[in-house]
Amino acid sequence: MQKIYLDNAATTKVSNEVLTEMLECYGDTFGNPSSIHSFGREASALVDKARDRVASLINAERGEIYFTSGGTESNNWAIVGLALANRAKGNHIITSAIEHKSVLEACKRLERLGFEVTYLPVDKTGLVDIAKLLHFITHKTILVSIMAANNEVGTIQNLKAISKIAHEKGVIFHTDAISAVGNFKIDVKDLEVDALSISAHKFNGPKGVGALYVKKGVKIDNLIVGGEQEKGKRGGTLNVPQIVGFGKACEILQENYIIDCKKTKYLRDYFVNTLEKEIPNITINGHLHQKTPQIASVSFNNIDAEALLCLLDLAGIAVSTGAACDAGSVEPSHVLLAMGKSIEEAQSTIRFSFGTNNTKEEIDYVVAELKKDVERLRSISPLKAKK
Amino acid sequence: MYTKQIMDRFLSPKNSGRMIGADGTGSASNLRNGETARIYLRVNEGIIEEAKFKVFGGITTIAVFDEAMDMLKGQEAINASINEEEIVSHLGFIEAERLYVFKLLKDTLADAIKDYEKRQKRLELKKIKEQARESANKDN
Repeated sequence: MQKIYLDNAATTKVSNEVLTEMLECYGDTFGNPSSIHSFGREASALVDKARDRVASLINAERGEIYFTSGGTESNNWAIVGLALANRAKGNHIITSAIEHKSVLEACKRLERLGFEVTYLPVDKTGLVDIAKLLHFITHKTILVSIMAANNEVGTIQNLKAISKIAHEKGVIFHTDAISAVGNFKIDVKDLEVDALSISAHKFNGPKGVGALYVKKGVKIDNLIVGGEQEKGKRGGTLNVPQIVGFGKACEILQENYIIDCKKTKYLRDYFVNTLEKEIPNITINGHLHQKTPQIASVSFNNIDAEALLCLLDLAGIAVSTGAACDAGSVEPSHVLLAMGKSIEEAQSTIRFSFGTNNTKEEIDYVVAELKKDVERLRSISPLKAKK
Repeated sequence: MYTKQIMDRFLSPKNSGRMIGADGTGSASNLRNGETARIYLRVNEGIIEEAKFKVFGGITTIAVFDEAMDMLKGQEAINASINEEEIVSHLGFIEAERLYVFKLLKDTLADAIKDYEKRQKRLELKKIKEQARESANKDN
């Protein structure tokens, strides 16, 4: 059976070039980069090279990149670390209602510690209301954290405007760019962000490694303690093979992202256009233009997405009902609800996320399969089609 | 994640779809996740002859409703009930977080029985009125 992967927002396949560089680190270059002998120095040199590559991708300085175990740790660390380090200035944090759980749960943890958190609403396209951001900033606000691009619907936020407002009020700005890096150019200097989270496996790097960019001079407390690694800011022996793979993935992305994004956007748009012609009563979610080229979030009204996902899986097609971190949850997506969707609409939504390896032929097959499966599930749905 | 029995019921439900001329229909929704169901009952002399369903819900929900419809056949309509343990046993295993489906099933069935009873009372009333009319005609 043909197997088609349309879940590239959940994770991507590690590229061969990345794997080749990683495998070398499982050979003779096995030293601990913190060791001062030659084995350690060799490993340390590889980590430095990787750090340069990550920094170069987002136009940061080498010293501003801290390696982590992935996106969740980067987001947890940014929220908790920045809040605790700047507590003397205030105890108010502003984020949005559509953030990833790794941001929202970190905020909830801070609320239990006495911080106040404002969760900004979004409009029906998933955009944060800039006027509301301005309205809610007070003299007690110390941190604004708004994601660069949403992982479920792909909507890209007005980052420059957000950072400008935050900085005019003397507030630190963090952005979760995990679903953005790989989908459009991220330049930390141009965007004027103070902290930014990245994860390697979203753009053909390995899982279990990410980074937090922290602008020089910005104060951040440790999340993980007990080691002098990462200039004493993040304890734990560095995972050299993963870090090396991460660095290589950044280098490849920097060379190819313009062409890759064009190809992915072409495939995504072809899918959406074909789908709209073939299947009635569907809704494409997110912003019409201001969204990542990778994602198409589609509500197949009146049918349950989990049932549809299962039928697609049996036909060899891999998609998801939302964030992979929420898989298994029977609750509707908090992102779609925040965008004003009903519970039924949220439960009818599937995320298709494309990669450069997908083809038009695959998309034709997926649409044909969808047409069949949607008709089947609608025939047993008690909900009526919208006129 | 799902047992073979659940997948079989999900992929080839025996009792799904609309029933024309049902003697009782009922609907209910799960407010938490929006799952919605409708049950149709065909009743002959107080006994459920056929039960069908429509569901806006996931794999487990479809499988449980399909299994339950088989269970309803042959039961006295006004006292029809669902045996959760029996359904779980037939389907092999249901994840704890999916057990909410039984509330949806029970609510939908209760609504269908209520509708059946309402229709029966309406029929009885119609019958009494007809009998009264007939006896009035005879007296005249």
